Amino acid sequence: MTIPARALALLLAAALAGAQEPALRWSGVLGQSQPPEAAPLPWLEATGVAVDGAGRLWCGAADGLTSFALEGEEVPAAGVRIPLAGGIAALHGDGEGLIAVAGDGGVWRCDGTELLRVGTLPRALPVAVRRRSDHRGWARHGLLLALDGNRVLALGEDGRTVQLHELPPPPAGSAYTAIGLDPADGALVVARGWPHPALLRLGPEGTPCLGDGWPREGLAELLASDGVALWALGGGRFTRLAANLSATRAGQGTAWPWGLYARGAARDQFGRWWIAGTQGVVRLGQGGRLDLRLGGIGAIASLAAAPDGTLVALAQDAGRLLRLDIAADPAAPLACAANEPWRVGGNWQARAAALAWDGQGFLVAERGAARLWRFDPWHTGWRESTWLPAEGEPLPAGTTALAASPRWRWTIADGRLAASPAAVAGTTEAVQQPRLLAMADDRMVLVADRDGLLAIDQAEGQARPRWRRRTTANLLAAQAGIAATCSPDGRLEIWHTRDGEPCGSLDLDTVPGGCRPTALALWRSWVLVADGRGQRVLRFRIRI
Amino acid sequence: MRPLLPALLLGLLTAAEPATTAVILSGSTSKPERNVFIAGEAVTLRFEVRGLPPGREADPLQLDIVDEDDRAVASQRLPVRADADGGWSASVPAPAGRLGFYRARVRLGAATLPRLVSRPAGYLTYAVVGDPATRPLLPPGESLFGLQGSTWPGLAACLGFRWTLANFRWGELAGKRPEGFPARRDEAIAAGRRLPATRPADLLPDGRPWTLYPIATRIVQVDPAWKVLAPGTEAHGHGRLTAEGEELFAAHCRSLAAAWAADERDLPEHLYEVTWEPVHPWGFKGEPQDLARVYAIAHRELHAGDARARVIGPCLADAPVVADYERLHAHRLFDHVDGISFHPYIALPPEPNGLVERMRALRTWMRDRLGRELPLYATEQGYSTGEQEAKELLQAQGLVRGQLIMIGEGCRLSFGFYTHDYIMGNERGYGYQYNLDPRQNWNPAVTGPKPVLPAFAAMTRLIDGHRPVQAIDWLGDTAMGYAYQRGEQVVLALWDWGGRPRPVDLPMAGPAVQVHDWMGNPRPAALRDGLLHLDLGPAPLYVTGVPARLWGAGALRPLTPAATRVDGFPGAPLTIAAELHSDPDAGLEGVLTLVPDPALGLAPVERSLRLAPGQRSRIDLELGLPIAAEPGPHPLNLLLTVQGRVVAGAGVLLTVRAPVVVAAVGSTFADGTAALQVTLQERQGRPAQGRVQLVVAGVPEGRLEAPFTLAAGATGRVLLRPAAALDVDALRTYRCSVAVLREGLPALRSEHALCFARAARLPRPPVHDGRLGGWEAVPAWNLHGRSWAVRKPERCRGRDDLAVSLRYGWDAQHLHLAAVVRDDAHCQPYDGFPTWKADCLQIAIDLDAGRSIELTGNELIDAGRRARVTEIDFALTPLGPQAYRTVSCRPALPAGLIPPTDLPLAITRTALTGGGVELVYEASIPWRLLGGEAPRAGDEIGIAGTVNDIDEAAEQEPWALGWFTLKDPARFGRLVLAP
Repeated sequence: MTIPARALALLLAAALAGAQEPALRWSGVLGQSQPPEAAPLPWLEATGVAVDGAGRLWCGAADGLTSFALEGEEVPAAGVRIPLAGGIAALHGDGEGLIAVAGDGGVWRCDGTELLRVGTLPRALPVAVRRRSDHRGWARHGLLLALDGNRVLALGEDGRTVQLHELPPPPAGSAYTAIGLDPADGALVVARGWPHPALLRLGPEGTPCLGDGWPREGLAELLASDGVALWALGGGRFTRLAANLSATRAGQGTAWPWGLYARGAARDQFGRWWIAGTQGVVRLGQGGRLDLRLGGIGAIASLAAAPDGTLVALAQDAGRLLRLDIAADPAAPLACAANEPWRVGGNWQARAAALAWDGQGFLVAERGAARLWRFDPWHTGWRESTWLPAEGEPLPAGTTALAASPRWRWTIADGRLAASPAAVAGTTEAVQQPRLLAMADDRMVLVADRDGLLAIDQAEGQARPRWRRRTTANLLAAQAGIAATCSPDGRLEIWHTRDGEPCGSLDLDTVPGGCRPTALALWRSWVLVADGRGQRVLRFRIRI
Repeated sequence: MRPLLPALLLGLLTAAEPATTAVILSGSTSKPERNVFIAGEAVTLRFEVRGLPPGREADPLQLDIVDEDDRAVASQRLPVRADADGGWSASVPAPAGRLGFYRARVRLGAATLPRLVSRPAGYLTYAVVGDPATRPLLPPGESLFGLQGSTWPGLAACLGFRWTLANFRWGELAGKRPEGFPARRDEAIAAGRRLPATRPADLLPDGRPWTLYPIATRIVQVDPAWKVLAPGTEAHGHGRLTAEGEELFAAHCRSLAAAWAADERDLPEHLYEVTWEPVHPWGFKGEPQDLARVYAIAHRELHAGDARARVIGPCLADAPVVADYERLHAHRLFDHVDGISFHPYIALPPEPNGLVERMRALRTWMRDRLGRELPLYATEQGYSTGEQEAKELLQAQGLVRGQLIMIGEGCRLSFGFYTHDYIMGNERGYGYQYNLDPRQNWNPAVTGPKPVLPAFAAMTRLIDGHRPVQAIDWLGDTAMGYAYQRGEQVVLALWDWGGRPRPVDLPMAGPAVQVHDWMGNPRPAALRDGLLHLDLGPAPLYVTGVPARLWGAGALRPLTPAATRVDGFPGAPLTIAAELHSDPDAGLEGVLTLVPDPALGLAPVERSLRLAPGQRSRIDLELGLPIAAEPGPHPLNLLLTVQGRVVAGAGVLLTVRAPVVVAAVGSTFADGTAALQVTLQERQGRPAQGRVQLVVAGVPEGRLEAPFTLAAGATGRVLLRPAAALDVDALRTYRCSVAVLREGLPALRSEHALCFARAARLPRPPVHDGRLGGWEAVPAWNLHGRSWAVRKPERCRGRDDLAVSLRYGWDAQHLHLAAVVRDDAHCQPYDGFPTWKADCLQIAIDLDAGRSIELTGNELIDAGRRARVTEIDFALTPLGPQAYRTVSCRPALPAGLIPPTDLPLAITRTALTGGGVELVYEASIPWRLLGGEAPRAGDEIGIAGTVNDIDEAAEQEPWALGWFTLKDPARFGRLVLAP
């Protein structure tokens, strides 16, 4: 990645300052694959991916289409962006251009510069798109085939939709979930989901294949064509679906974690697979591992860091938890052990009010429910306990802030500060309209209130103010020895916690691409700032 | 027609029929409890019907008997006339002339046989197997097959398996207390019972015993109520043993071994499988080193108590994945087993899912990493049909082929799973038999066979007692098989899993050759021109009477590679040489083809040949490896084709080596500043240049890069200097990935461990004054809090409970150590060896970190060659400061108290205002006391340590803060001696 001009200027200024490293300097970006000064990718999740006839990669998401030029191993930067109201539900290449299915079932053709509506499906359905030049077998029926329950529909060039075929009713509890066209001979392949997963093949003339390994037991999340063959993504592998399936060996291996909910896949001219899903668009690289991610992380409500460098962020209106590695490259895939996306308490409707690291694990306060959870991002697999009710006293109703250590929990609820175990004396009068909390260590909690920043020493049954600083903070973070704040005017400041003396500051506007801070965390010698403008996390080095 | 009319018509039709009770159809064979017949026994089917209109003719009973492939065997239509009670019954003879599986589909009008427990509706089944009385009694060392599950008298004999699993679960043998086994054994003996108990012999039809051989399993599985496992680590009876748990387990193993040795005097080996599927997290929640510790104890004690003990494990739950074994090997688990046991579960069919490759990868791994191949024991392998008839054929073919692969790839024995269907959670349909007993989920009184049962019986009859000679994997991309030999008898097992029949021709001779189908039915083999023609499919074919001179271990092979393992480099030419040898009675004219691994992207290479009778010839085949050839193993196949038919084949394993490899990665100093160093070796014999890229995982700004140039065959060091000091902990091990980048060549990547700990060179020996005199310029490393807790972390109560500030220094004579420990309560009631149980400093040093040391097995020689690992405990005891060596590397440096004249030591204690104490440990350890001499700047040593803490003498075990992994030299950190 080239170093942007503004960053160079920052480094040069630091060098000219006499080689004395500043107390705070910008270090890098997490979670946003676009270069720092470029317009960010606004999506965390992607709904489709395709490669057009010119070899460009296209990603579909809630905002529309974005193109990328693929050049070797470099992280591709976004090129053309074509908005589409309602967002993209599916995206496929047809050998020359693209076919996109919108959220309302509209079908659009794109030749690289604009979208042209070519038809309408009953709703956003799984589809298989034929190569533009291919009219063999099932491909002769139209520019795409769609799966509507048990029905196979075709969308003709005239924009009309007709029913071609009715599949046999699946076993109770199962449904057909994916459809694919085999570019080798025009056969149709249909995938059936849990609890009776299987792949069925209908020959070019429509007859079901009942030999050569068909129908085949097994789960396929996705069927994708690379223009030469049809592939199934399932069970962590890409498997090439040859006509004689029984001779097919185990497919290209991946480190594909379960539950990334793949929505689309495309293969580029270098033979690499790109997969769209809950992590944006990820690339399957050398050795069968995910090695690159295109996307941003949206607006982050809160950040917390564990000693091993795991950074957990609340995204998507604090309903989804992300895991990043503090040392990762900007375009690194999000860290995931299994079964992403992770929802608060495992509940897709729940939202978090606060997130904190308590010295032992991550705590998540559930908004409106007075529930406190332990979240284990390192154990998210089958039969593992990702979410456990946190031990200890119940959370106050209306909690909006949380700070914790192995022995203490402090909360702000309905404008009141409280501690568990209860801490008395000296705090009630000192704290006025508390808003933010951070735990420096097991002995000190910091509170941002109406009058500034207050440090409170805590001991068994006693809490005493230690120092106060006049400052206005929107965001607050602390660890042993250091605290950090962001002010409304975009100033990042760091403070010694022993006496509240400031020890460094930086104007966030000087960061390439600017910054609209939305969350803050500290980890060792680093400050992490969530940037709502750049849809990313910024990393700063502390040297004091 | 208006919609109303069909409804009216329907109503009229139904109204015309008299009201009837439901027709109930039932059927059974003449062996209704088990439905398994021995060849030569007559089979009768009996059917009963109830609920018919009394006294009237009914629909005839349609009986269609088919085989496992649903091919028709016999059909019959029986007239049915109900008696006065509406019932009818009949018995008919059923076909049983061939060994195998029979499915009798029965229908009477709309009625059919109802579903019976796990057997779907519509049919009953029976099987015909060979006479078990004709099977030889094979000793344990030659018997290959076992089957898990409850049995009925004669089942083991009919199926031909002798191995069984005996449940020696600690939790069950010992009862309510972990030490309870000896007393319970005495009670059992007094009552005339055996404890531990193993399965009694099965019975042949004539009443003679069918000997069974037990494997004792689940040795360590505890009763969770005992509290011998560390909290949070228990699953499925496995976990990290507490210190007390280790002692109890050791005692139990000793007692158990002595007991079984006394009970089983006839067995030449006693197999102990210590764990059962200890898979994280559902089968075991501890760490790999905890598992290794279990095996270390079990191996020591079982061998001590039983001279015939063979400890096997760890019994992982799937077909081998080398990475899983490597993780355990990192903690030396395989030093404590005599064999590897596992449950090779894999999706069926096994071949395209990689079962063969995984087995071969495991054996390669053992040779490379353990230096030897341990015996392999496959103690469970099964497949669930979900109680669906449509999956029974796959179950039978897949499991039988899986067994043949296990034995063919060298397993010592192989178990199937399970004898009968049962319901447990979502598990249904694993059985080799249907469960037909509605009252019993386990040990049913009534069972019926599935296709896998007679197929398994045929396989054991033909293969048991044989050992694999060679894999036959050159007949086609989906064809394979093995040759097995017992004495002068050779049996071939062959199949094709590709879904289409594959014709093959095999060199063959002799009048005794027979081909058996997979149920064991033989037919004479027709040979033509010295070849046996077979049409291979998914059901194995067996060829018996095979001449050993053609297919046995000492056979004269027409094709032999000059080397079965070769090395190559990307972009370099490669020569594969093959020796050809024609039969003394016939010449040889054909084509030799070299088929490379498809991953290399190379076309096959062919060479025509002609040999006179008895002639030998060597042929060289040339390959040019592509530049992009991936380093690692690549199979090459050699095929000899005569008149278009493959008549011989062989395999060569090509290992593509990286031309430049990373030999070492570590910390160093350059011009007095800290840097990282990558040592490269050029192996291809050509000059090389490029860039080295190093990324320290988890460290921001931890990506470093530098150019390199290497002469041919040279070793060179590349310095990488970070622009700013890396934000790392000196007392942690980091992973780093290193990429060697050269233009036009694929990147070569490797992973390494990296430490950043440096010991300062002290200009003068420090003064042991409790005030850290002499350490002023040395930065301290601070440890506190749960993230540094390495033992019982749940007891850590934060910095106020325990905090450590640690320093290492060195000079030509000593390794110096200073530690300031703040503790809320100092408690050390012991002296001598037990000081580790209370407040102390445990320090380990390895002077040979990173060096490979070869042991000879001769204890006298090896005593002076072992790695110089020392562990010393420092404690302020009631008798004053003590240094106690607990781990010694040399007989001349024995374990025990180290006098202060040999090791200067001071430990001072100061009470802190506000509570708690501060202890200052200052020690100077002479290098000679560690088995070494004066080191040099830049040398690396291995280190680890803990600070142990209790607050009251009554606490049985300490918790501890620690750095790196004490007790495991393979996971020590590296301390660089700074200049």
